[in-house]
Amino acid sequence: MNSLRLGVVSTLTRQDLYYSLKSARGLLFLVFFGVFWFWVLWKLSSGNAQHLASPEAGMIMSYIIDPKVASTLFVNHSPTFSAFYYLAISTVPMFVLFAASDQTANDIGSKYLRFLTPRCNRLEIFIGRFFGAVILVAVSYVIITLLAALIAMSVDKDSFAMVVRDAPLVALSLILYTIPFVALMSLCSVIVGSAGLSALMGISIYVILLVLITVVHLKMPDAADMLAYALPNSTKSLFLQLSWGNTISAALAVPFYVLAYGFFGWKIFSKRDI
Amino acid sequence: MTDKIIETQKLAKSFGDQWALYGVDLTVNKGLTTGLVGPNGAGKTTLFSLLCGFLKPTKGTIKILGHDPDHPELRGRISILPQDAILLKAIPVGKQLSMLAELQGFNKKQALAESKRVLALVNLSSSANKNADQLSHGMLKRIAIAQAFIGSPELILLDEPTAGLDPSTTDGIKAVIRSLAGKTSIIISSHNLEVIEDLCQQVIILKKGRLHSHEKIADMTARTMALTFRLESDPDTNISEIFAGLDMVTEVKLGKKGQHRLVVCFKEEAGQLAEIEILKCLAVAKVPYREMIRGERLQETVADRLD
Repeated sequence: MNSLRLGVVSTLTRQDLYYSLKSARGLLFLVFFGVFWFWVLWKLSSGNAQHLASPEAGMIMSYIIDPKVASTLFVNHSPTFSAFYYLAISTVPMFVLFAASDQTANDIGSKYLRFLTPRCNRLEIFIGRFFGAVILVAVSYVIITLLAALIAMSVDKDSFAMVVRDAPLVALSLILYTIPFVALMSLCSVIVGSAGLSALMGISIYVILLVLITVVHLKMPDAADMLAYALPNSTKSLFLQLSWGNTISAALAVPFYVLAYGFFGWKIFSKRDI
Repeated sequence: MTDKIIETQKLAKSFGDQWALYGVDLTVNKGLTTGLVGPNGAGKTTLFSLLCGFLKPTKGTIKILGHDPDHPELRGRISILPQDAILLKAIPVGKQLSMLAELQGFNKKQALAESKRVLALVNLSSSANKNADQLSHGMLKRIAIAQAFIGSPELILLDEPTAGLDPSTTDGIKAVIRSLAGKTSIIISSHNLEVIEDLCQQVIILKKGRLHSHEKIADMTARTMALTFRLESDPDTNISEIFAGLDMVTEVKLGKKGQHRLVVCFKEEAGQLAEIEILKCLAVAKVPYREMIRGERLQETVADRLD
C-alpha cells in the first residue's frame, strides 16, 4: 500500500535539492549548464543576434526552422531574447536528460533507498525525487532566462517593454517544456543502478526514437507523426510560437507525458527489488 | 492487539528459476530479541530483505506488526540496519541522520537533537560534521547502526550489526542492543553466533532456503545441564567411559573432527556437584582442556543441526 503524505514528499524534495547542490552529479550539471550559458550569453551580449531580424537572415533561418516561427520569433520579439529562447528550447534535451538522470538510479545502485523505505514509502520517494529534479531544472532555467532578459534589454534597442512582457512567458515555456523530459528520466532512472547509465539510457531512447521517426517518415508520414508523440519534445513547435495561447495548448499536453512516463516508471519502481 | 510482531505464511522468493527461499511459515512474538542464522546461501539475507520490504515475495504473505511490509502504518515503527547500503558521500553524517529523523516525523530542531543522541550511542559524536568518505568502514557501520536507533521503533531489524567492527566497538554495540531488549523487539541476522547467543532469546535457523528450526536458545544449548570443554586435541571415541561411574551424567557428546570438543550433559538435580565430579573424572583420566563453559555453545549446536 502506498499512501501519499505531502509533508514527507515536501521533505524528500527539499533533501533532494540540498543533495543536488552538494553532490558531484548536481554540481557537474550546474557547472556544465553555467559554463555553456555564460558563453552563449556573452556571445549574445555583442548584439549580433539583431541581424536575425533582417529579411536575409529570416530566409536563412527558414532552412533551419519553420519560416513562420522564425518570423514570429525574430521579427515580432526581441531578436537577442528570441535567439536565447530558441537555443534554450533546442538544448533542453541535452541538459535535462543529464540533470534529471539521477532521481532514483544512484540510490538503487548504492542501496541508500534501504535507509529511506522504513521511513517513507516508494511512491513518496518516486514523487519527491521527480519534484526535486523539476525544481532544480526550473530554477536553473529561470535564472538563465532572467540573465538573458537583462542582456536583451541592454542590447536590443527599444526592446525593454517587449522583453519584460516576454520574459515570464519564456521562463514558463521553458519550465513546461522541460517537465516531460524530467518525467522520461524518472522512468529511465528506476530501471538502472547509476546516474550515468540512466542518462545514457535516456539519451539512447531519445536518439533511437528520433531516428525511427525519421525513417518511418520516409514511407509513412502519418505513422511518423503519431510516433513523434512518444517523444517528450512533441510540443516544441507550439512553445516556439511564443504566445500565451500556444503555450497553454502545449501545457495541456504536459500532464499526459508526466502521467504516461510516470506510470511506467512507477510500475517498475513499485515492483523492483531495491 | 496481537502479540505477533512478524508472521509469514508460505513465504517464497525466487531469482530466475532459483528458489532462494521456499515455504517459510514463521511467527515471532513481541518483546524478544531473535537471531536469524544459517550458512551462506541459506536464504538469510533474502528473508531479511523480504521482512524489510526491500524485496517483493514471489509467493506467500508477510505481516509486520499486523501489516504488509510497505504499509504506511509501519513508518517510524520499524527500523532497519541494511547490511550493504551506502550513506550519501557528499553530506555530513550528522546531517544525514538528521534528514532521516525528519522523514520519521521529527521537526528540524528535534531531528538535530535526535541525530546527536544516536551518534552518542555509537560513540561518534565527534564525527557528526564529517562526510561519509572521510570515515572508516567501522565508523560507517556505526553510523548505519545509529540510524536504526532513531526514534522509538517497535521493531529493529539488524543485518550483521557487528561485522567489520573491532572487539571493543562490538561490545559497545552489544551493550546498546542489550539496553533496548525488552523495550523493543529486535531481529539480528548474523554469522557471528557468539553475538546471537549473547543477545538473543531465540533463534531462527534457515537451511537451503527453508525454515530449519525456530526455538529458544536456552532449549538448544541446555545452558544449565551441561559442561562444554575445548580440549587440547580431539577426544578418544571411548572417552565417555571415564564418566561411567557417574549416575548423574546423562549423555556425552563429541565434536566433529578438529573441533576438540567434549560436551557432558548431566541431571538437573545434580547441580554444582555434577560439575565438580565431571572435572575430577577428567583430571583422573588426564584429559587436559583449554576452556570450559556451562551449557552448550550455540555455534556448535547450530553447526551440528545443519550437518
